[in-house]
Amino acid sequence: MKTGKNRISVKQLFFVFTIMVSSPTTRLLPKYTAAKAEQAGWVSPVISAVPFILLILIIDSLLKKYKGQSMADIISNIMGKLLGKLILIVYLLWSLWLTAMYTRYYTERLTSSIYPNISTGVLIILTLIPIAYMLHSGFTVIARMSEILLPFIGATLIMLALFLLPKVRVDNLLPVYFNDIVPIFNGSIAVTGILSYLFLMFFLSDNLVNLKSLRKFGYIAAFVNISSIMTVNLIVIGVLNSSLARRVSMPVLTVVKQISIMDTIENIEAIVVALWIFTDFTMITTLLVIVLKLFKSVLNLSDTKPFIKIFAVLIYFLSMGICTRRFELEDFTNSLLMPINITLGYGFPFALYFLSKLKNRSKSKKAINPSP
Amino acid sequence: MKIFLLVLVVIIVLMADMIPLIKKRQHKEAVFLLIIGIITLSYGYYYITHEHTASLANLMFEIFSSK
Repeated sequence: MKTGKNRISVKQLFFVFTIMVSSPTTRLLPKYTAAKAEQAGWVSPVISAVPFILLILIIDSLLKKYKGQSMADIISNIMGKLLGKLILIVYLLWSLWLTAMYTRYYTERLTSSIYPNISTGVLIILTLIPIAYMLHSGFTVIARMSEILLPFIGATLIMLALFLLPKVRVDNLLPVYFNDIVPIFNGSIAVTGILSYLFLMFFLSDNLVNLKSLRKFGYIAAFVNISSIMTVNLIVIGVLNSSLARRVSMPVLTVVKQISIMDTIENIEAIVVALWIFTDFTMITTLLVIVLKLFKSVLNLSDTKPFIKIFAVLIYFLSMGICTRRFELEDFTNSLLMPINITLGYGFPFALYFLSKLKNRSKSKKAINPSP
Repeated sequence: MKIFLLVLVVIIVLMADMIPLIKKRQHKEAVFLLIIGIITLSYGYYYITHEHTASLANLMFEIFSSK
């Protein structure tokens, strides 16, 4: 699909989304699902497929009804100007928080894996400068970069899974009884919360082309994301077992460190670290694009390019001041972030859909029985 | 020293973006750029003066009273 300047295809959007999801997938999800559902944690992502597919259908329905408009315009159309702006401010604050949080997580992950002696501030600056520079060329650069990057990420995941398959112990993954349904559901909350970022991506919908294929690529993205999250959870819980997976600070890195091919190829965790850098870079850049888009919509600005640098400086201070230590941030993610994600990423879009249906019904009633 | 650096960086960034905006007569954008600059300066000042205790995550816990 050919795209013009500042326009991306739906396929590219889902490519970016899949890369975004792979960042928290390797950091948070195996720990969370192992803590909530123990040995059945690898089944949890299946439950999340239902709300995710419903979200795709709702977004598709809204975008077909309000053609050529961004999600911000659609919200203002349905909710009214004032309430619409208030809701957009909430989304702006949410995406600003996510940008600062993922920037901090990115540096925390690097300092606790390969750069223990480098200060957090230096790593944040070294990340935000290329992001600010890259954003001047527009989001299309990120979208095209994702098209090249995603096959590499997928191939690496499959390769690592194959290398680790002999180390997976079936008794770490089974038995899964019918009684496990409640823990599995609890484990799926984090997966559902992470997949809710799809709604944020559609604030860029006025830059999208080929919206007709949204459902098709949505289903493919659902399959790819759910199966990759399941694979990561299965490998981590299968190799480490659930009680260890929930306690290790970086379970994916711990598992990958165990890879040894014929006692010659070892210590290939550098591949995982390189992938983390790429995925986090894409995540932070995309979230910053969404922040700028929402800022533009809230204040009716003509251009957001002049705001890139100052927002980068603001995000530096926000990510430095978001927590005093990593434990605080992890606690926040596990207890508060997921309900917020689910409310804003699923609850509100569902409410928006029903309100648009109600509005339609009242309009059609008025058209049949116009008041004198 | 850190506060001096903060003010210097914010002023440089603001000037670099503000001058083209004023030349193009985009006054609305210039005003909002200035506002974001002031927000950055004030939060940056707060962070620098409370470096070891500043925690937005704790603030969120207090707002939602879940800890």
